[in-house]
Amino acid sequence: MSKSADNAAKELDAVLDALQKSLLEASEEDVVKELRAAGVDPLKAMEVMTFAEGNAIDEHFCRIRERLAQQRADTMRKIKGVAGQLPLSKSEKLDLLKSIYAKNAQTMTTQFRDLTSLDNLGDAELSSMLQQLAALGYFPHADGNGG
Amino acid sequence: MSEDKDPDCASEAEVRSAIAALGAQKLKLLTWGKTLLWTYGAFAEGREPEDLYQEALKRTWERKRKWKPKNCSFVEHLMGAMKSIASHLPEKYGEDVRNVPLRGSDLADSSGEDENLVDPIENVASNTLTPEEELAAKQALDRIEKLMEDDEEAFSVLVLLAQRKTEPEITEDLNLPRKSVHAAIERIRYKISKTAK
Repeated sequence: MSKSADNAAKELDAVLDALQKSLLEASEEDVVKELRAAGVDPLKAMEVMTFAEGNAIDEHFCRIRERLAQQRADTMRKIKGVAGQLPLSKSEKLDLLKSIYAKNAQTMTTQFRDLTSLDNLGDAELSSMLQQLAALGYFPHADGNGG
Repeated sequence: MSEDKDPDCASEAEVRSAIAALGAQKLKLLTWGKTLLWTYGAFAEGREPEDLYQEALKRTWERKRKWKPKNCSFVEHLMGAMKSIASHLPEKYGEDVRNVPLRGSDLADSSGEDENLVDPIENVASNTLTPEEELAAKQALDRIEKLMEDDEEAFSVLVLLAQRKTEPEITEDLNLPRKSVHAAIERIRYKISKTAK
């Protein structure tokens, strides 16, 4: 084989490809025999591999849970952060909500588009909606580039 | 598992089914892991074959390593992923094996899509090897070569395999029956498997 390190990776790759092909073609009986000859208990090996599967799935879902928890925390922070920026009076809140609605009518979700009785919303509901809209990025910024 | 818009890429349900259907094929994957860890010697110290398997599965779940059923079977996909993970150990941890972490889950970078973990079918000619990887490959070849030096026929086959010769070409070059070449490759595989811990 080549003594040059430059070609070694390609050569090793070719050898491993051939070994992989050979292993894929091998019968299960032969693989079991080989493992036994190497001192490996096939049943125990199956258990170990199944355990590794469980770990892989657990780790994956753990990461998803962490990501979702992080997203939720970020959203809650945004919602809380905007609370202090809301107008104090109900009418100002209603005006703000209407202006956001008018500006973003095309992109609003069905839930918001279908709201036809904004005037009947209570102060708490208005605040909650504005906070949620802020979390979704619809809240106008101080520089006037909201939505 | 995040959804992917690539229509050739297996869905979460397909991956689930494929894992559930692996059955005794897992023993092949374990054997493959043993082979890879023995091949990469010191860089694989403290590692177990199931660590490579676990990492390959995790990367498939996370679509950092995409399985395209049209291109290869699930076992081939996992073998490719395991090989890729093992071959990048020298690059990731350098020459000092003390840098190698002891947990399988730390084998590869967990953030984002790992561009180095490419499907061999998708990226046959990757020229992104580091000096550490090249050196590790050379050391690995030396190990295999040394292991087979008492089997002249298998050794000759090994040398030609490294030159990317196919079985029919090797048959012709060595003037051997095809089944002898096939058996020689099996002996190489078997000997590594037996020698590997």
